[in-house]
Amino acid sequence: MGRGGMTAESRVGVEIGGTFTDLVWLKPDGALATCKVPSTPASIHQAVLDAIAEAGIDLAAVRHVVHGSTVATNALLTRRGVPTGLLTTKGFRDVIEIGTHDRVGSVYQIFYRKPAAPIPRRLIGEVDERVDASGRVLRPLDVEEGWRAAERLIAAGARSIAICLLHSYVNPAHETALAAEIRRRAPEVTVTASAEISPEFREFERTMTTAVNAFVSPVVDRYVRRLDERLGADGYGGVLQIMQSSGGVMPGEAAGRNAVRMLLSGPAAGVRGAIWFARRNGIADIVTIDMGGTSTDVAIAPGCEPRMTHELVVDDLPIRSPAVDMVTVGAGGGSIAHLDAGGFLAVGPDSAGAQPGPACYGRGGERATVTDAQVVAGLLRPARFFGGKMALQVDRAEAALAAIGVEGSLAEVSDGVLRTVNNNMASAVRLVSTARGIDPRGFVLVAYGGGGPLHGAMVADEIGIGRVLVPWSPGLISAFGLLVADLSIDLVRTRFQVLSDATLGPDAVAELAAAAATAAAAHGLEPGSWVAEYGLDLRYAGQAYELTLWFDALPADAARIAAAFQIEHRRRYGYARDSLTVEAVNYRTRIVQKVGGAASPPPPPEGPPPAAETAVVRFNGKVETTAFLPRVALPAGFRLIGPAVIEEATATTVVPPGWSARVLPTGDLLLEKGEGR
Amino acid sequence: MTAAYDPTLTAIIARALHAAAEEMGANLIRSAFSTVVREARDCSTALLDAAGNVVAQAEMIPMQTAAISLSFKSAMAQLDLSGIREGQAVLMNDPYSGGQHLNDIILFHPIFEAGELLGFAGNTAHHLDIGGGSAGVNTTATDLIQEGLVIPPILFDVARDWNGGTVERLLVANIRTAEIGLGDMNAQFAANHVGAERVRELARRYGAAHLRHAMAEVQDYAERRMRAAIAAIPDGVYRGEATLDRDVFVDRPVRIAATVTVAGTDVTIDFTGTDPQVKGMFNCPLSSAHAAALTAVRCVLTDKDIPNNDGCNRPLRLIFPEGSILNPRKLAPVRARMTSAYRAFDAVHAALAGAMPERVPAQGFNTTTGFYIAQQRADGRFRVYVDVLGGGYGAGHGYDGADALDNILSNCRNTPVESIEQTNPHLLVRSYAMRPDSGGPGRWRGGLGFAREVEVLEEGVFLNLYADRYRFAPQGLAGGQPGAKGHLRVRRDGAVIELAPTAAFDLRPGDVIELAVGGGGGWGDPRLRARDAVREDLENGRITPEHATRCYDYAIERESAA
Repeated sequence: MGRGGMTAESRVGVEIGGTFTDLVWLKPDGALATCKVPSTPASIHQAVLDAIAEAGIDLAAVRHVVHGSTVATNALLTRRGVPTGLLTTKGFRDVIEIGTHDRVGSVYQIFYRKPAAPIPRRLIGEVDERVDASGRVLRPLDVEEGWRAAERLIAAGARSIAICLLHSYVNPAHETALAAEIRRRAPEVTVTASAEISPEFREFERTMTTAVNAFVSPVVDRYVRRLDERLGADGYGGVLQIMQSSGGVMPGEAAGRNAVRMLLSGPAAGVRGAIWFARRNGIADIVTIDMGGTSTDVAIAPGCEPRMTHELVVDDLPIRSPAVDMVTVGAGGGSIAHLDAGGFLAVGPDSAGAQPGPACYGRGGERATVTDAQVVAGLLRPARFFGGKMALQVDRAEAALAAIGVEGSLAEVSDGVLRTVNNNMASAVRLVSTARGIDPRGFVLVAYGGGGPLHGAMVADEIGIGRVLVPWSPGLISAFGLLVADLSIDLVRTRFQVLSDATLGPDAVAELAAAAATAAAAHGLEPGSWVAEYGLDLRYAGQAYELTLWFDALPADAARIAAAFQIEHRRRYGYARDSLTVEAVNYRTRIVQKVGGAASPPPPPEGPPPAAETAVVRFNGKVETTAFLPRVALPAGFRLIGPAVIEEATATTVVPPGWSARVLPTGDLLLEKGEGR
Repeated sequence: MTAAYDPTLTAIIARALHAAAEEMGANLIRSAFSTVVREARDCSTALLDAAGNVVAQAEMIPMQTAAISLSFKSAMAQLDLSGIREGQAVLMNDPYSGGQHLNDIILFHPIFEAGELLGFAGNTAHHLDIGGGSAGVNTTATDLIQEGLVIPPILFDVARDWNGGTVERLLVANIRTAEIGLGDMNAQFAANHVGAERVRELARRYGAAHLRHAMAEVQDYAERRMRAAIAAIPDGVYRGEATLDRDVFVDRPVRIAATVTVAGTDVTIDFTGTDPQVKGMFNCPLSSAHAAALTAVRCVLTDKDIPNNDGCNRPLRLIFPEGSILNPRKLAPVRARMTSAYRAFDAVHAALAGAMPERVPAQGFNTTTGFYIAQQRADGRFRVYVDVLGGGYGAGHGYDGADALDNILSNCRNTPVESIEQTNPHLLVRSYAMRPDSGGPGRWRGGLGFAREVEVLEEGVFLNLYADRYRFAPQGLAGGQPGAKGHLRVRRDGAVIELAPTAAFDLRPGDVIELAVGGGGGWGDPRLRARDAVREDLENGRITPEHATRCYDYAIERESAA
């Protein structure tokens, strides 16, 4: 629906994935064009330029290029950031080496290896200073001595320096002074101070967040600059924008300093896209499943607001950065089905990936994958796969499934694999919903990614969800999400206090507003072009984990805040005690600048629907004669009763027996349990 | 297994049970009040079938998880649970009724659906204080009563007896940090509610019959995996032993002996020959000793991901002589039972090293250092800071021991320094750092120990400590050298006061406490250590130049000239 009409805000969204780079172009007339090109791992930004060239885009006429990329994530996962040093308070050199001092993963792993920190111990130095928990300076910083510590790290090879001093979240003066001194005397070195990136208490998590940021930011900065230059050379006059894990975009220049904020940019863009499609169909509460080749990302957005977290874990490293609260399970098309050591059928997390891929691709893969089970079940038609560009080999899929070693016919085995993977996804849905105190049964499941629409209704059935939305071009939703994401800036500040009327009183709100205005100006936002909302991290006095509650930009009294906290605590943990003192720990500010313009995916065709072809498909062990239809030819209002399969270039939608489907006026598909309305 | 049940669905239910136990654990941690539970995560959760067998557990603390079924069986033996109703619960902490030590409060709730008992949800949480002769830990206790309030398994009605009722009031009256204790208990109730609700959902979704079948099958499944992994250990009879520094009262080493017999897929561990029980708190009750022996076997098996349930116990036969430190007679104090549990663990590994030296590590520091600094304030209320610290891991074939990590039985988090200082204004942490040269030299190096220095800022502060390995260092294996020992020192007015591994000590403002935990033993001849690895350790300050020369025969001059 959008806002209709013409718009001059032409935008391009480009999303780089492991195998393909997807582009969605919002043309000046409001129409959409898409293209998909191979990713170019050797020179990552090249795929962006390739996609733009292939789509035939005149960059001079484009207002915004919005980009989602795994460049930061890859730099971290492969530990190919820049050599980074760390400065800590004297006596605390080993904060990141000691870490939380517990094991992650199997508790019985006696040959345990700690997650590899991005900074070697030889590049960690100490500074003789100390601030206490109240922010009082116990030992003043000697800036000259601090500089000498930095100089030693630079001499030892550090090109980027992270600074994390104790209690800097309450008093950042020492960090600020030290950072300024290093920037002044060694301008070629990147400097990240913890209070700038993650001013929250808990020194290990703050230090790791700062260290990771220092490690990957220069890589991102270089990448963004190079891409920006090339786009500029091709006529682009706007500001390159980068997607963040929070689902908002930030200017590319900010990304170069805050790379830690883009570690989950791809899945977050997908959630943004899913929300846009839900809204245009008047749907409020959604669960999203984004199924790709190696994994499935699941998130929840009550009222079309995605639930957020401030505690990410990437490669077993804790990262404090706002992100869409997402659960990822190893349930993709390439996930391998096998018998585990005790004889239970299991799927994933190992994946056949893009190479060799599923056995039915005929590229040398011999282990059975989810895709092979889909082929054997008859859900994927070998001759029609990928728009007919890639014929699948059924005999190889059958041989791979037989080799798993499960008793039973091939039909039973493929059925078992599909039910297992459906269940893995359903478990992920429960983790983001019931485990967070949200009953998802009244929600609509938005299914996208290459595999989401195939499994969506079956996953919904497991959970008791009765409606599934399959948006336009399900394989391109992440790229589309880039076009419709608002710009957002997240700020946080720790200030311990017993909750009172002053906590979010007029003075506090004025102070937050002033800080928001400063940050917005620093990001180049025009006054009046953005809004802010304020959050509080609250807990009962004595607890150590907080719940974040959001408020609009107006003052709120303690009674109102406490009441909201009691409700949320009861929902999350099953109890609340209003006799206990409530503490506020952190202030959060989210600055949002709404995206302009409108996008409108092509409407459904008019005229009669095509005649269905039929084929035999096995659902839950039963053989069913099933209708196969091309999505592109289905008109608005078209309805069908399952079992049916709807095929398109980037995805296959399955309508199981007992479900029905209809084409909404927007062209999106709605699958409903039963015969529908 | 009968063909009546669809095996795919059975596997799905098994995974769902595990996920439910994990969710209980996550909830417990996040809603708890004490730093011990919320930061250190000294707690665990389980789901049991209607007969009281554990069917799923969160992977948290092996010491607690491996013992929770013994706790429940003991409760069943003492209570008539045949008439248990919705709304009732079982509470306990008695080490002589299947408990661990008094601080570990265990809570079980029955799970009903459509009037039918499906099983139980249970959890254990370490409470900051449980009464007794001193805040946190009473190091001079000579019987259990002095260690705190003993709760035998009791069946109570939650609505009537909690929320201001008899049980809650009795408990609260016996705890120094009552608000925190009550907060943690509420978190325990909430965790069980979540677990129970998830099990009810499974019964509604898949039917109670299939759920019961899955609960039985998942135990058989774990047993199959245990047996398959045990089969890889060469058959034979292997002996090993380990030694505690001393008891609290008698300065004499305490020896633990283990004879491990591997026959096919069965393992018998006989601790006959272990020294008698001691006067002080180092006695280890049966459920803790059991958990230590089971964990010792599990962590040298190649299969690391066997789900935790009662099926894991079936291939094991454990013999603990009555009256020994691993099976003390009733009312002996047990507060520091983790220490003797670790030596039982070490003795089993020393035996298994004879069977497969390349799968067994050198000794890790393997000691729980319980470190309490308490302050009684002017208003009579207490502040208790507690940390449960580990040490360095033992090296293994092809493996340098991990540095500064909790030991394998406990897996607790440390408390952030910033958190310590916010809640304990009477303390300032001066440093928290690894100890160079503390990893036992070897072809593969033992992990490093670490140290904390804490300055006392106010009056009325005292410390309680229990530790071990202040006298006997963690041993190397296959030619590897021992790791560093631990120590506790108080610096006062320029003097250094050296404390014993069990200490209660009054502190003054200005005192600086230096608590050091040791490293792990090395594996293999240190002269065979790769020269690059020695150089890297030097560069990163894990060893000093003097240590490199002396222990690794490393020629520093030549290297730096080159």
